[in-house]
Amino acid sequence: MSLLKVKQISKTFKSKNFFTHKGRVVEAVKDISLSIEEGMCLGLVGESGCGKSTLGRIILGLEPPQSGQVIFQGKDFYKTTRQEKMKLRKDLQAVFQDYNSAINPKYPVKMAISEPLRNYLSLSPSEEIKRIGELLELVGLNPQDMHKYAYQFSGGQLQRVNIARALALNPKLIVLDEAVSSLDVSVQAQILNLLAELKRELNLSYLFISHDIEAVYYLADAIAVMYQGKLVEIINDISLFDQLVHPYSNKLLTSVLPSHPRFRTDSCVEFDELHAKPGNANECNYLDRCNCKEQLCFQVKPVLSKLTEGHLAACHKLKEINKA
Amino acid sequence: MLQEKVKGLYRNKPGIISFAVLAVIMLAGILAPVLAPNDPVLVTLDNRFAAPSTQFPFGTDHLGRCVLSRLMYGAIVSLGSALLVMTITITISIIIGTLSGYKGGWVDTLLMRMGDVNLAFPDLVLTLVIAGMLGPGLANIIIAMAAVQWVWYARIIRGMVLSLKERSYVLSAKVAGTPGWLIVVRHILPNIIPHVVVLVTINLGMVVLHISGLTFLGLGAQPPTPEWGAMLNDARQYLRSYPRLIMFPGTMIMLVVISFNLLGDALRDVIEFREG
Repeated sequence: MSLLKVKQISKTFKSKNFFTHKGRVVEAVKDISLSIEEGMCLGLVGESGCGKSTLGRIILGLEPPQSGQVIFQGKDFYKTTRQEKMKLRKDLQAVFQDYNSAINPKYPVKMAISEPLRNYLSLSPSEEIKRIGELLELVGLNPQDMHKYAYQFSGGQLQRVNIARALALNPKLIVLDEAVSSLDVSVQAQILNLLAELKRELNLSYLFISHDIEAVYYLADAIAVMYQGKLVEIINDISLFDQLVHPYSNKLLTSVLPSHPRFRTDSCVEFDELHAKPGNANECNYLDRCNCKEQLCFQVKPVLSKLTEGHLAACHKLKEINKA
Repeated sequence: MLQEKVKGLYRNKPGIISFAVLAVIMLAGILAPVLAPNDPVLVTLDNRFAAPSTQFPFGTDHLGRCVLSRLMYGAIVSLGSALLVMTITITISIIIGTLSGYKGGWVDTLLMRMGDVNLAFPDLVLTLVIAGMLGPGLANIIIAMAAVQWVWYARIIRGMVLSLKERSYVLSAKVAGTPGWLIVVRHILPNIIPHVVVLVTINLGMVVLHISGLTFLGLGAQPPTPEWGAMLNDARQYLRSYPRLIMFPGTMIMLVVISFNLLGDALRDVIEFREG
């Protein structure tokens, strides 16, 4: 049984115009299903605004979906009782992108780490201090740092504190919502190494949400590519990474900059903006930006279908290739 | 952190001076029964419009009452009621603003539409209508002012809560399983209270003016209660012949309003420095 199963989740946001009463509907997440096994890291990639953070928030129980189920440890998160939800939440933690606002500036960081501890365990004050010290050591900080305030830390250190807080209750799944994106590259590498190490030591599972396909490649065991609220490609084994075939996945791959400007080729600088327009319900989502579209793409919406074992993609073109 | 801020306030000259001025006025009001040279309501018609002397340091008014004593007793009425109005107003608006901002949805819509109805009328007119309906009296204008002004603060507090509740530390607290009320108490209120304190201090001057204004119009404290607005009203008829009568309470009101404004500015400089 998988640790987390997401079944056909949809979430739309409506914004009403006061004068015309015509709502603009944004379909942030559309019919998404995926699962995370224990000890696995699923990388969720996509450009900004594609709904990946919304999906993360739905999984964390912060935003109820319009339809679909989130099944965590065999229980539907949004349909269980309050107590059950509290119990589930203990195994489900998060690290957010904005490390600056992730710790309340009014309190020393030990308050931030003790918050989950106090909600679930009744430790004596000395046990609590000891546990906080252990956690800080685990993420590579000095236990003495627990008395400092958020503004006394650097970005990388703060993100380590956030990871320590997420680890406080020995969770099973941690949702890393762009957890390394706002750090600079060398610090990113340190945090990624720390995350990989913790995963191995504590048998953690991650949902690693990022727009950086390189970082995802480094940490993830499986990859899901998201575009405009839908999954367009899933690979269950990171060793098949070079077999990503969907035109959008390829575009993401070419967006990775080489380590030196001299190695830059023309394909690296190709960039187009997303134009959100109400698309025809029957045409492919990715039609506007696709450079290998054909007649069929205008008429039938491609669905996520199996290419090989553990590799799904939503594109007409690829199915043909596979058949041939 | 708190000590740093106290030290910061200590270094801020206008802040410390205005605080001292307000403290002296407040103290004079509280100690008036001991310090005041004369009975503030004792009418001695022989002494009408007496010039300043050792017995009446600021002279006497049209009924021969000691102006200094009336100013001292009036301080506690004017400042005290302003503080009371502010306390009531801000308590209501913190509760409503936080509820509205944090809960959102229909609670928010209901409370804010109620507020909008209130805001659709001019401030002073609405206060006058409510105070008029309740009848003259200090307690009634306090109620009327609180009933009108809470909306304004509730809106501001709602806005602050809206921006705070999307902060990552609130989301993290939710994920950590902290119940909603505790998130409000632990994470949201401590972050809005300093800003509210600044807001309140700056606006206290305005409330003092408002109360004096309403008393000037005959609502609020009734004669012979010494109150600065009422003293202005009494002195109005003798503006030409005895201008000093209007100068004393006028100066006091100005002093208090300026002090509150400067203190508010100083607090803002100190509290909102390195927020984040």
